[in-house]
Order: sequence, then structure tokens, then C-alpha cells
Amino acid sequence: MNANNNVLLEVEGLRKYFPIQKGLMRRTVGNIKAVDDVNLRVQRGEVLGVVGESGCGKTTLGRCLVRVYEPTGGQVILHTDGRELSVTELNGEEMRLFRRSVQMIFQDPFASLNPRMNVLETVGEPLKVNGLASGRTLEDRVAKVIQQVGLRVEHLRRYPHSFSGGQRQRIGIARALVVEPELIVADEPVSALDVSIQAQILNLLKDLQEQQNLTYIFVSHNMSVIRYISDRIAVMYAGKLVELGPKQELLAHPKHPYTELLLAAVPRAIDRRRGHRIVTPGEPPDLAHLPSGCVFRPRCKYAHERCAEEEPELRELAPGYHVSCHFAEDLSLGGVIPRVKSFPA
Amino acid sequence: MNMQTTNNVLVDVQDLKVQFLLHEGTVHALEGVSFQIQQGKTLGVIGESGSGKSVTAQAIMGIIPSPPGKVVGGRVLLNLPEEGASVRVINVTELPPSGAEIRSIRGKEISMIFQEPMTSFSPVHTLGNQIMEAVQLHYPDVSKKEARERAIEMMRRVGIPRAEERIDAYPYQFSGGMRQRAMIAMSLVCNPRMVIADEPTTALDVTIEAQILELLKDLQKEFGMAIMYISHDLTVVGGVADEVMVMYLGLVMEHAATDELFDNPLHPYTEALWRSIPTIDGDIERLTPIRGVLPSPFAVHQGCPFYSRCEKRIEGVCDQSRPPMIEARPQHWVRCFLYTE
Ligand SMILES: Nc1ncnc2c1ncn2[C@@H]1O[C@H](COP(=O)(O)OP(=O)(O)OP(=O)(O)O)[C@@H](O)[C@H]1O
Ligand SMILES: Nc1ncnc2c1ncn2[C@@H]1O[C@H](COP(=O)(O)OP(=O)(O)O)[C@@H](O)[C@H]1O
Ligand code: SF4
Ligand code: SF4
Ligand SMILES: [Mg+2]
Ligand SMILES: [Mg+2]
Repeated sequence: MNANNNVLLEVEGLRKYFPIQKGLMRRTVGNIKAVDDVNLRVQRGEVLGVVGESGCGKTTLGRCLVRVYEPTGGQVILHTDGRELSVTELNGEEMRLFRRSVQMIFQDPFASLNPRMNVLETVGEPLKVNGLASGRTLEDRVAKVIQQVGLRVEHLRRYPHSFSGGQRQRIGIARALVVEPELIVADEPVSALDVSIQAQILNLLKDLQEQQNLTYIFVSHNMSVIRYISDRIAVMYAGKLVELGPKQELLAHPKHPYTELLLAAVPRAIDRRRGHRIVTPGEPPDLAHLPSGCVFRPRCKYAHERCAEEEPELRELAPGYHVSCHFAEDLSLGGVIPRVKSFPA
Repeated sequence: MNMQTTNNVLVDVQDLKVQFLLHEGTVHALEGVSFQIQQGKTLGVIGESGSGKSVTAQAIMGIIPSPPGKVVGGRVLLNLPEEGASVRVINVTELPPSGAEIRSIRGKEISMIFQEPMTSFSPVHTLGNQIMEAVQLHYPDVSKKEARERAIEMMRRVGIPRAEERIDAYPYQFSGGMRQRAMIAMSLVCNPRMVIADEPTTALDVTIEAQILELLKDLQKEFGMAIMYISHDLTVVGGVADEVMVMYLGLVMEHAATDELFDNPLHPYTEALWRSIPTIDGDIERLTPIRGVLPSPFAVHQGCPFYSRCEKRIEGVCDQSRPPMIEARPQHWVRCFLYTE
């Protein structure tokens, strides 16, 4: 990772542990390491997709980045407005700047909106609480952003219950956009939507990103969605990043055995029957009881003795390409080669 | 409209109409659905939410909640082969829903796997007891010990490690994937002729989904049961089904062998679905969302129900009457005016 003034966010050694408590005294008997020593740099204007199985720590990572969670350790640095904010130790003024620069979109458009607030109040709230606008100006800015996300001004006085799932997700997006942030952390923003609505929201997010040169950290368990939206992909396993690289390269030539497994499991649209869906035994890890050495070892068909003794570090295999496997150089893993044929014609 | 007129037809759904009478209005959940399922074959059913996939499954099982649901037309015939060459034909739609006959079929001849196994298992009984109960319900002569052995054997068969210990565990002690395996074990323990799987992997990770789908295919080879596989995901269905039927607002829009339907989709809705989903190996260019919104479930459609969203609609034709189902290519059925004479 070479330093570069186009870096928007730097994440160093980020950890978030949840204590496991037992008994009446609620004694802490261990930790769930939901995010464990994550290192990342996010470039201004890129879409970084974060993918992994349920429970691997994607949501927790996203929440640490937007300060919904207090990290257990590590650093998050935001470069904004010509300044360098240490996200874990913001003072009042810096906090306001941070809230304006970084916003989040949530998975569940039903749960994430306050049923007693109409669209104007919901979308205008971040402007109000951050003292960015009020009265007429607030209303104008909300009206503008509402139209950007494909809703209409007539919708401003309506309440969430009268909107469909896709429309609610648009409200959530408008609420994130209204402060004109640089970075949006989107946690499974289309997972709760029906397929035909999914496409609308994905296209909307893509257009907004291109038009406004936004930066996204896009979290999803769906590799096909990640492929569509991202420039780079970060693969997470058991609270750790195991592979990080440009999309094309990572999908076609994964370097980590877990990425290979994950890709093999995705149903193919075109190569439906030809050797697709290699079934691998094993289940997602229990974050409270991780194995020694490499976290992926129990499911890894390439594991050697060294994997039990020594934990692999995320290292730079080639410029801009990171992987945490002792044998990344020696393995030749299967990925997905896209089909040239447009499908269906 | 018969897909194939062979004597291997196990389920024969004919012009089935189901409505839900709610105080806000009437939901026309199924508006004349016809299809057949062959013994030992897999029929994939796809469609957006609300298209009637689950109601179709409920109708076959005879479990449409009533009220508010009501079969207002058509029928569901089960052809159950018996000793010798004779076939017992049962009209599910005519049986009292909690009568002895349908109860002897449900769980034994036809069983079901649901999306969320947590809600289909009782949380207060061990998995083992629930699977054993399914055995003893249909085979009263089987002793408790035998039923337990059968349950363990089936749990082992679906890939639950240490089945002889895990049989005494409660559902919450299993992971999502293991619970779904247990659900499959329960659905297969009486060796049914057909299993209806209603989005059985939607709540699971892809890695686990792949395991479950592979397991179902293996079990089908071993036990020869038919499968009706319901999903909203085209790519998932493409990997498991012999034939696929596409539903939209209570109607079958297209029905063909899987390869035929995937290689030559004919219906504008099927094409639109394809263009709207991101895939792992297809063209990565822009997705084309299906325009407009899904009409209200209370709406009554005089013409084609897809009319309001269809790119190829013919004004004055498609909005006037319902398109008929026609065989546009051999064994490839489509409900659309583009293919009528
Ligand atoms: N508030 C919390 N208290 C205790 N444990 C938590 C908390 N939030 C998350 N965890 C645990 O941390 C781990 C990571 O959870 P997280 O929600 O980040 O996963 P995820 O990758 O987003 O999964 P999914 O795909 O299911 O959304 C899990 O083991 C989870 O149970
Ligand atoms: N128990 C019920 N009460 C009222 N309406 C129902 C009920 N079950 C299904 N419906 C309605 O019937 C239609 C088809 O539903 P369903 O078969 O569940 O769709 P899906 O294709 O998503 O499985 C929908 O409009 C749905 O709202
Ligand atoms: S370090 Fe060893 S166990 Fe871990 S992914 Fe690499 S080969 Fe597999
Ligand atoms: S019948 Fe007409 S409206 Fe319906 S799918 Fe065909 S072309 Fe479109
Ligand atoms: Mg999550
Ligand atoms: Mg359903």
C-alpha cells in the first residue's frame, strides 16, 4: 500500500471484540472477535465491496467505521476537508465534520425508518442535527435529494408505512445523501428487496456514485451483487480480511482458498451444469472458538502443518493485492471466468 | 395444457384458482394454474414475491389457510401408484383439510421443506422426537426404538455429524444449515413420493446452500422422489430443476425444460427477470430493472397481468383479454400474445 493523497480512509489494526459473559456475575469468559486486526485503505471515488458469509463480521466492521460501534482497538483515519480525523477520538467539532462526511445505508428498509416521521423529517434530520440547514433551505435540499433518488416532492409529507420496500430503501439512501457525504457505508442495502427492485436500487447507487464521485464501502454476502457494484473486493472470514484486490483479478484468479470456495458455491447463470457449485464440506466458523493458526484451516483442503502453528498475515503479494495465506504463491486456485456471450441475447 | 402426457404424472394441477377473501378486498392468488409433476423429476418454480408460488405448494398439500383462503376453481390430482399396476387417484381439493385421508398423505406421500426451519420445528421438543413422531404417525406399527433408529439413519444420511448424539438436541442448538438438514431428514424419513421445497436455502449462506442443493440431488437419485423446488432465484433453480415454470401474479407465464427455458426464454417477463439480476459469470454491463412496480395483489387484470410493465406490449390487444398458454416451441409453453397467431 503506497501512501497516496487520494486516500480517503485508512483502517489500521481495527478490532471489535464482544465479550462472552457467563453466570450470574456475568463474568467475561472469552471474546467474540467479530473484527480482528483489519487493515485497509479506501481510495476516494472507489467502490470497495466487502463480502463474506453470515456472521463473519461485515456489519460490525461497517458499524465501527461509521462510529455506531466503539472499536476495541486500532485506528481509523479519515482524510477530509484537507484534514486528518482520527475517527476513534473525535472532539465535538470534528464529530460534526465526520457526520457530514460519512453516512450509512442499512439493510432493512422497514426497520431503519422511524414510522412516526414523514419523509421530510426523516431525510431532513441529519441536516438538522448537524446544524447544516433549517427551514426553507432544509426543505429545498430534501426536495432535491428526494428527486435524485427517484421519489417525488409529493412524497415529502408521507409516512414510511405507505411506501414499498424499494421506496423505503430510496428514503434511506436520500437520508444518507442529503449531507453530501464523501463516504457511504452500505450494509446489505439490497438484500431485503425483491429481484426486480434490487436492480433499480443497485443502478441508483451506481449512478449516484459516478455522478457525485462518491466512495462506497458496500457490504454484502452476495458475490454477484458485489461483482456488479465494486471496483475492489475485500473478502472477510472469521473477523479478518483474507483477500483484498481489484475485482477482475480477484474473481478470475483468487489467491486465498476461502475465496475459491466462496466463488465455487455461487450458482452460475450460464455455465449452469458444467462442474459448477463445487461443494465443500464444513460450516462457517464459530467466532468464539477459533482454531490455532489460520482461521480457515478446518475448511481448507490445502492446509499443511504450518497452518496449525502459525497464523498467516495479510501481506502484499503483488502491488495492490493482499492475501493472508502461507501458500498463496504456490496455489493455483479456480475462479470465475465471465462468459463473453451476453445472456440471454 | 399438458406438459407431457405420460403415465408418470404424479401431481396434476388443473386450472387451479385460489382466492383470499380479506376485508380490504379479494386477493386472486392463483388465477388458473395448470402443470404436472413427473415421478422422480424436479420442477423448479420461480417468480417474484406474491406470484403465488407458496399458495401453489399449499394447495398441493391441502393446507391453504381457510378462512381467508378458498379454492374457487380447478383441482389438484395426485396419482399414487399402488401394488401392481393400479393407481390411486386423489383429488386433494375435494378432501376435508383435516380429514384422515389427506393426513395420511401429508408427510408420507408428499412432504414439505420450508424456508425457515426454526418456525417449522417445535422449539420445545428435541429434533429426534419430532422426526420419530413423523415416522410413528404414518407407521403406527413401528416401535419407538425402530423409529429412533430410522431417525438417526436419516440424520446421518443428510450429513449431520454424530447423529446418534445430535438426535437429542433441540432445534436452537443447531446452526441454520444443520437445522435445514434436519428438516430435510424429517421430510424424507417416510420415503415420500414428492418433496416440496419452498425457498429452502434463501436464508442460508451460498456455501451451505450449495451443500443442501447437492444433498437434495443425491437423495433424489437414491430415493427417487419428485421435487418441486420453489425459489425467487433463477440461477439456483437452473442448477437443480429438470423443468422450470415461471409465475407472475397467480399465472404460469412460461414452462419448459430447464435448458430450453434458459437458452431460449420467450416470455417478456422471463427475459426481463434475466436482465435484472446480477450474475457471477454473465455480462457485467448495466442491469435493466423491470420497469414500473408490481401491481397491487387486489387488482383484477382483464388483460395480461404483465401489461403495465411489459416492454413489448401491444396496446389494444394485451390489455383486452388474457393471453392463452400456447406451445410456441416443442414442449415450450408461453402465455403471451406475441406468440399467438
Ligand atoms: N452487539 C453484539 N453483541 C455480541 N455479539 C455480536 C454483536 N454484534 C455482532 N456480534 C457477533 O459478531 C459476529 C459478527 O457479526 P456481524 O453482524 O458483523 O456479521 P455479518 O458478517 O454482518 O453477518 P450477516 O451476513 O449475517 O449480516 C457474529 O458472531 C455476531 O454474533
Ligand atoms: N394466508 C394468506 N392470507 C391472505 N393473503 C395471502 C395469504 N397467503 C398468500 N396470500 C396472498 O396470495 C398471493 C400469493 O402469495 P404467495 O403464494 O405466498 O406468493 P409467493 O410467490 O411469494 O410464495 C399474495 O398476494 C399473497 O399476499
Ligand atoms: S494458510 Fe493454510 S489453512 Fe490457511 S488458507 Fe492458506 S493453506 Fe489454507
Ligand atoms: S401478452 Fe402482451 S403485455 Fe403480456 S407479456 Fe406478452 S407482449 Fe407483454
Ligand atoms: Mg450483517
Ligand atoms: Mg413464498
